[in-house]
Amino acid sequence: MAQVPNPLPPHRELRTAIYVYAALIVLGVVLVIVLTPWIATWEPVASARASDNFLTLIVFSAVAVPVFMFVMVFGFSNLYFFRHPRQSEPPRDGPYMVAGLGPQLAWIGLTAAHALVLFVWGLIFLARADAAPAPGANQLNVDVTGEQWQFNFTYPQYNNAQSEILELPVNRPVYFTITSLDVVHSFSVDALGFKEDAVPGVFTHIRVTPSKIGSYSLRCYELCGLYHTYMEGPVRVVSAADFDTWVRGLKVHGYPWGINGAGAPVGAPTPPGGTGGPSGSVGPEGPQALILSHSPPANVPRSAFT
Amino acid sequence: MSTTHEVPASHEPRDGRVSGQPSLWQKLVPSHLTGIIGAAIGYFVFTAIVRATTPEDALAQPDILLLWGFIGLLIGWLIGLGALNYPVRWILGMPEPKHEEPYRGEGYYRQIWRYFRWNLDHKIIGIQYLALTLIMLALGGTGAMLIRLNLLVPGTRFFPPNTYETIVTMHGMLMIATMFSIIVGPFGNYFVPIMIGARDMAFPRLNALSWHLLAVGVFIFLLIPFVGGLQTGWTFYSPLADQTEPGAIAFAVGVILMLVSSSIGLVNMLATIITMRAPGMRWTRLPLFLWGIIGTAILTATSAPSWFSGLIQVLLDRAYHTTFFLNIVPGSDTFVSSAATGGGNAYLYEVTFWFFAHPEVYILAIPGWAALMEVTTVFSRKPAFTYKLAILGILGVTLNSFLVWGHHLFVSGWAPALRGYYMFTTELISIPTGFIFITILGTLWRGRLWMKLPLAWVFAFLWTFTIGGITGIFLSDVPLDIQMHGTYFVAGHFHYVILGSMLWGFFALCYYWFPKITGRFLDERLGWVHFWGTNITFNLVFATFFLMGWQGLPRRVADFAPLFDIPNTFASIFAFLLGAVMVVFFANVIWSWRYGEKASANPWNARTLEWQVPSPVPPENFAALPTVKEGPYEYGTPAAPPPPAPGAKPVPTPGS
Amino acid sequence: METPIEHEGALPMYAGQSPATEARKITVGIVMYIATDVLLGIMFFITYIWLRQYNTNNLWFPKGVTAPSSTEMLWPTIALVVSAGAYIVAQLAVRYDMHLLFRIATVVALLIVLGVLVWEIISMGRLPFTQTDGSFASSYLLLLGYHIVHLAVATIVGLGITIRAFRGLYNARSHVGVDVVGVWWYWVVAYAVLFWLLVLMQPPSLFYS
Ligand code: HEA
Ligand code: HEA
Ligand code: CUA
Ligand SMILES: [Cu+2]
Repeated sequence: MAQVPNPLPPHRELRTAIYVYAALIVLGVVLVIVLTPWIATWEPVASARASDNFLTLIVFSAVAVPVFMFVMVFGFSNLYFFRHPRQSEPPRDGPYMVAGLGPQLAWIGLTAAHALVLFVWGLIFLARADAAPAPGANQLNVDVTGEQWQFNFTYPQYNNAQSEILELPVNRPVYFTITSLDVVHSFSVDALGFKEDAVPGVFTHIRVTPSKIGSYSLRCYELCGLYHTYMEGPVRVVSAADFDTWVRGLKVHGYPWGINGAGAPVGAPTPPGGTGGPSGSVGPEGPQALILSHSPPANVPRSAFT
Repeated sequence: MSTTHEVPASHEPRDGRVSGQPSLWQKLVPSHLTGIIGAAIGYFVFTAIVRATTPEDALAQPDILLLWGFIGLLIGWLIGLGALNYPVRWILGMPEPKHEEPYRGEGYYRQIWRYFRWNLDHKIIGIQYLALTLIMLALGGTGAMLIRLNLLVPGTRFFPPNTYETIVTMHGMLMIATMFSIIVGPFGNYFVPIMIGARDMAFPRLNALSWHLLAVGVFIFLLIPFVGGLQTGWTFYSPLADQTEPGAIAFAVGVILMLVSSSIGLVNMLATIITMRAPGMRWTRLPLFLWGIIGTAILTATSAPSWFSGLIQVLLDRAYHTTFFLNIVPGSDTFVSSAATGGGNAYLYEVTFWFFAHPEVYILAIPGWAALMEVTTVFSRKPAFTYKLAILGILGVTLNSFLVWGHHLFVSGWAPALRGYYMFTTELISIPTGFIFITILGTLWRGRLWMKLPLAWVFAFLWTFTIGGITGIFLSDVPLDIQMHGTYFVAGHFHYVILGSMLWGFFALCYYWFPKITGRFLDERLGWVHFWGTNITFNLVFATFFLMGWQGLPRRVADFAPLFDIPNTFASIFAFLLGAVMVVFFANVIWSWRYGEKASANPWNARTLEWQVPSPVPPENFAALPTVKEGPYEYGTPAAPPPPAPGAKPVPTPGS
Repeated sequence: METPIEHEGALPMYAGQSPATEARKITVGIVMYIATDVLLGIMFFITYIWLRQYNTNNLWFPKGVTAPSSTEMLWPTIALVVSAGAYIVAQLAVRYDMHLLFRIATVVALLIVLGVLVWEIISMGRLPFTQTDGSFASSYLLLLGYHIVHLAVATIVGLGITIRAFRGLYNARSHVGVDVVGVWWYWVVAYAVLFWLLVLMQPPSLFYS
């Protein structure tokens, strides 16, 4: 452009802003590290997966601080430095200032590097989360079948014992095979830090190793119709011995809910209450913070509008 | 007035104007009134035909009736509007119909009824869009209020779960539909031709069609509660959509019409920008707002067919019992949970949906960014800091959008091996987004900030969108997304980004362009009340979402665990306040339209073409086509503008 | 300087625009609109192939149904290609003001398309399966139905072109409409060819086991 640039006044503001920026980064990172664990208390962290997620949350928050502060400082400091004092139109335009190649490349480089760091972190932790157990490990297989509106569990290594309650032994790798009988559900245990969709006609898988004995909650995280709100239940992580007695006490059926078996016809069978062994005695215990305190309203009309 | 564009000043009456008053018959036939009558007739005729020709047992479900009824409604509406006169006359080789002429003399142009008919003038369509999208915003907002009402206290006190899910679905989809037309609809239609120095869109009829399809689409969409509701969420995942209430038919037909409407409208704008730029309007002289429109148009036209196909398949599944998504053995109703049954596949829907819906979220963002960059330069009185980088950012986001849809499917089990790739491309998107940010920040820096309301909304954007974007980066990390997916954290993320870009951009543009459209300012005091009220309450509501999401509150649930009692009540109360502040904005628009302070032709002293014509804009925009001499944001140039180049001739017009 | 548009009934806002701009505008626009339609067609093909990938057992075809015969579909496809050729002739003829040839060519193209349309509707009714017979039937009928809709539209606009040709509305200087409809025509024909290829790929084939 053939414009003559306005003479640029000396540029003290930039230096001030940079100092403020540096100070705020430090402050922000400290705050994030202190505050995040305090704010983000989901259910007790009960697996390596979940604690990794927790770490990632803190690290990402800390890494985001420079980005956030950059926008805040170089955006909002303008209000302090360059604001035209009155509401009327500024008598003169600002300086004719467009970026040269250098600053543009620097910006691209910095944001790209930032994105790359996050990506590498993500890859490493994804690999960790999905890592197969060590060869000798005694992996527990659990088949999960979602249906409107509950999950059913089968333990293929234990004569296909079936239960509506999920119980897992502590410190033993678990391999879930998940499917659904009707619509898409999402099987999740927050305290164990995983979530995987249950898709009709497809088997999906997820691995996790519970690391802490306790009582947690599972629920469906994909809208699946009328009672999605109430599609939740308890999860118990117990010692290996306790698990053994429990699972051997379960009732054993043939092939369950169509899983593994092409051709087993199931006309949307809602299993009658209590297929799952000694379920009568099983109630939520302990701090299951995510469990609703209300039961579903009875007799929901087919549609409230018509 | 500092401009170097050559804009001829006189507006002589032109060909095609007929003076004198039209009769009542001319006003009403055809008009929206006949359109509505036609729609009603169409609905009943089609349902009667289907009833007569379909075997009894196929009518046990109302789906097939509803489907054809809605199609009849659409056809009747178009016939009643007189929209089909032109195509029919074209086929028969007859001259164009007279009733659609955009303007016939001052008497005709001034009157209110021109908004209630099939009209080809892009400015009238723009105002029709403004009214319609504001109504949609109010309806979607009312839905939000009902959602918050139900979540005010635990225990589904207000709505049973099915009603709640219906409301969530309608709120989500209606808001999304609002947002993808709230900037490109009103302001795009009104200003695209003016900003490039043209008299109208490339295809005025398709432009009118776009609005009228949206109107009928929204109408059909609003019938959902009356045909049974539906419990799918706006994602409309099948097979749930195959199985839920017949409201799904209204949803699918309504949304198809909205999609077609916005593709038609945006492709029209793209064609206009490509072929109708005034002499001298080079690509590098296009205002950034138009680059935003270009990016949006490419995105919409390329991605909409994908969901279109998914929705058609849901309709066929429901009305004709095909098996695109249901996994059943052919010829029976038996379900077998194993792969490969000759049946449908749920991932097919998820992929067709997200292949559209991810680009779609940038359809919600790009016009907002472009609008905010536009006002930033005007109110900092500086050229865009990195004009070309901004264009690159818009186009980069456009391109990148097509590569990342899998980040919504991290937990779905579809193509687990590709999750790393999707994580990579998703994190990549922060780079072109950063171009937008550096443009805005650099333009503000050392500017002479004229703190009017449009600029205030730019600062609101910097705050809101940065938070939303950064939480998006959290979600793009696969393990973290596995933890957060389906929780209110996601809800917090997208309310921050969508409101932060699109709605804030819309507000900025309202305060910026209202004087051009109506010749009056929006009231400034009410405007500041709206600004502060919105920002404070908005952050209180949606920051709570992040907190609740971290702690595991699932989306789309009508009831919640005791852990969330207090935050939910808190969020609800501030959401009601947010709604109240929005009412202030609506009131401001309505009041200022009639009684606002009068504005001059170029109150912001801006340099783009639309400010060089009188306000409100005369019917044919430019008496003779202007000649463009420089880029859109040449602020900060030495004081006086160079005089218009001598000898530049406007394109001659007949009769002048 | 080009002469501004003056043909009867031009919308007033286009007064003053040159016919070249007009033609460019319409061509660019229509090509983009058709591109979105092409994408929709591609999505339908993807549907077919996608579902095929998830149904690798012998349940893909409904019981007692073998793959639709590709030879039976060959003739209508060839007929459509011929109609596209006739349409090209029409486009060339109007450019050189050869009005008789132009009219004949449009009539030929129109009749062929009409014939294929009727054939497709009849053969759709005679298929050995219905849409409820599994995903193959669903997606096959979807593709077929989509093509029938397009042939119907082609028939209608082709009728328009023919009527307008006989009314003498096109000549060497003004034939944008003919070219625009041509784009649509070629897409409809190309779709038929793609569809035939898809049927050809049915087993025994390289793609599916
Ligand atoms: C306007 C709409 C919009 C926009 C712009 C975005 C932007 C982004 N979104 Fe968002 N998103 C939605 C709307 C939007 N989203 C919606 C509606 C959903 C939910 C749909 C549903 O399920 O119902 C969703 C869901 C969603 C998910 C899925 C969550 C889940 O369901 O599991 C993910 C995961 O990756 C994601 C990521 C991102 C990312 C990485 C961005 C990035 O584009 C953000 C980029 C911006 C920044 C990063 C900030 C500014 C940049 C800088 C200052 C430059 C420097 C920065 C860095 C180098 C980091 N989004
Ligand atoms: C696209 C834009 C958009 C916008 C602007 C909003 C705006 C708001 N949204 Fe929305 N929301 C979505 C898109 C949007 N939302 C989507 C896509 C979903 C997901 C749906 C799904 O899961 O399927 C969702 C889901 C969603 C939920 C989660 C529901 C659930 O998962 O259970 C909640 C909960 O509080 C919520 C609240 C709000 C609130 C309080 C506002 C407020 O900002 C609203 C403020 C109010 C207004 C903007 C209008 C004010 C006007 C009036 C009140 C008019 C007065 C009326 C008359 C005079 C008649 N939204
Ligand atoms: Cu199952 Cu939600
Ligand atoms: Cu996305």
